[in-house]
Amino acid sequence: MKKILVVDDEIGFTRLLQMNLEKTGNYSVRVVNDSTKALEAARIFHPDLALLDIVMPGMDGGDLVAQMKNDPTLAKIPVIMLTALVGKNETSDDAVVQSGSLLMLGKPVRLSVLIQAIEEQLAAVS
Amino acid sequence: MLGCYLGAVFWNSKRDSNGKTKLPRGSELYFHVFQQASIPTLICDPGGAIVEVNLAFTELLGYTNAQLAGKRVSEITHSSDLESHHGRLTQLINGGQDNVRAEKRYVRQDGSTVWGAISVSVAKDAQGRPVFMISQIRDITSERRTREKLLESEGRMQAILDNSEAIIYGKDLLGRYILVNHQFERIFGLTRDRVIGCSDAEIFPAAQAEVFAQNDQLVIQSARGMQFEEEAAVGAEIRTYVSVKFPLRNIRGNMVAVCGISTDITERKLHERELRTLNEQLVKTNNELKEIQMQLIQAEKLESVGRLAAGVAHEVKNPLALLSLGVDYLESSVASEDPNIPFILNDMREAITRAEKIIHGMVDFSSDRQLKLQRHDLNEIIRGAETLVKHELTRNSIELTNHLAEPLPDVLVDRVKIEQVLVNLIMNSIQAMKEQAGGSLQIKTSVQRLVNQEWDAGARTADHLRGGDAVVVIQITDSGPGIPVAILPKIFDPFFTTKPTGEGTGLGLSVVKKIVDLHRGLLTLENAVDGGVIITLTLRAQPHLMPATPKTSAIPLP
Repeated sequence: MKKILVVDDEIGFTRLLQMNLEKTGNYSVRVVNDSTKALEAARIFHPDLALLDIVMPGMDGGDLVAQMKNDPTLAKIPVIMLTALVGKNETSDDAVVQSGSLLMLGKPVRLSVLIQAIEEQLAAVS
Repeated sequence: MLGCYLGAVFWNSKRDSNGKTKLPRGSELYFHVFQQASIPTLICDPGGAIVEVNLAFTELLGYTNAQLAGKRVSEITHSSDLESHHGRLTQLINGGQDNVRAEKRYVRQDGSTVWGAISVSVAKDAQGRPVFMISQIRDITSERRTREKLLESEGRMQAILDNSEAIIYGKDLLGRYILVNHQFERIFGLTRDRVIGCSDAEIFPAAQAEVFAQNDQLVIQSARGMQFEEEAAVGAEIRTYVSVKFPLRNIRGNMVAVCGISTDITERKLHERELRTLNEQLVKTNNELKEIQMQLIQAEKLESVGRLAAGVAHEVKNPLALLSLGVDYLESSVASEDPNIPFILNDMREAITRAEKIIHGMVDFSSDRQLKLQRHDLNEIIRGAETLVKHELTRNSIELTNHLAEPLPDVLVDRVKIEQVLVNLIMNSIQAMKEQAGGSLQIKTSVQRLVNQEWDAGARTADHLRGGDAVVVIQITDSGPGIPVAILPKIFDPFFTTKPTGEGTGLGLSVVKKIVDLHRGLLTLENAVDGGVIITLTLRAQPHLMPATPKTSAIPLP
């Protein structure tokens, strides 16, 4: 069973995401709604993959990725960014996008599309 | 001699012994008549010495007989009239005439002047020698005074007329001039003597004279003052006048003449015309400004919509994401008792997709205007767009034919945006042909020179397309049903759609138009003669690049 860390301030969305993913029986999901506590949670949880929102109060998705990359214990974790932002030019940090093992998905996302993306990312690092 | 008659003045009181009035005889009778006659009368000798005056005469001049005794006529004649007095005497004595008439002034006893109309007759003896002269005098002093006053007033009137800047004239009822002022003489270069008695036809060109006469007739017929605009030749020039014409009446109120006062308004008319032209230009400019203002307001609106749209999109997409996952969850878990549940979930899924599309359209429509312009071959972009719609074409049995001119000059475009335009246009055509079983789509490119480009008030920029510009033209022709004429003007309006509610956001063509506008290109949609729609997209062709020349470097390579 793969461990997935979900960081998003939308409580309803994260609850449904967790229910959907765990229902497949393939994933164990940990949700963090307060992004400032995400790094701490990641260090304890050791996820196989992180699903991050971009626009969040406290610490945004871009900063979070950057901090993960700076932490050797987290740097290798593949990341999928989920965003409700519109247009590619609005994704905050070009450097992050270019750093590899990072995928952008727009909200709303179909569960099937998301699962496919998760599997691809997991396959890429294994 | 005067003295011997004095007694006779009282002669009429003589009566005979019977108490009856005794009639005088012979010269006594005539003397009596002379004395009593109401007409002041003077008798003098050929030398001008007063011989006899009657009562009326003494009353007229205020002298007594005694005062007149031994006086000459010249002594009671006004000094100004002495010359003519002597002339008359000479004339009567030496000339053949027996009688002359004249007007002269006498000096009264009190020094005042009396005007008299005199009739002087000469009495001659058997040999024809003048014996004496009889002057009969009519007092015309008041007549003269009236006449003088009249002359004075006429003189004043003429002075007023002559000093007027306007042309003033009077014509009798037959149209003959009876008065003109100095300005008339000066302007038309004619003397008063030449004009008086003439009609307009004798003075002015026939066409003008006819108008003047017609206007005069209107005044005569209506018997009231009227105003006309008249043209008259002044030298080689035609000048315009405003003429006030009115009837002149005599003392009995009968119309006797038409008087006119004409003022030159040529300059005023000219100014009026200039003013009107200026005003028209002003109105035109104002309308243009209004139009530009409307466009600015529209642009301003789009700007704020754009700012709003991005924020709204983000806020709406989050709940949509939640709904979407909710539907996903339910789809995999409630495939149970109620057979309607899958349909409901499907409807919900579609509703989410629709809402998402609307948001995308809205953001596209109002997205920032920064284009990433680069030189591109339009044919390449067309091929790229075609791969994106290949599936849709095949699915709807639509045959695609390319007539691409090779090579095309480059165009300066945002590749992604133009590809979006082409995909949108092709998808629209596919939509239009969906109803029928299959169809054909033709895409053609060509290089042209722009002709008959209409001037656009809102696009006076240097980089806007103009007639004569070299352009690359894409024509997309479908075999669909065409666009109803009634909706043609509205097809680029945001939110205008022909699709049933729910099937389209209505933003497609307005986004397309906006992108083309941002590229300073032209986009037209028209119905083809033999059915279908022809879409024409025109973009400025870029000049050929100079062939690359190898760069020379001053620093030798290591």
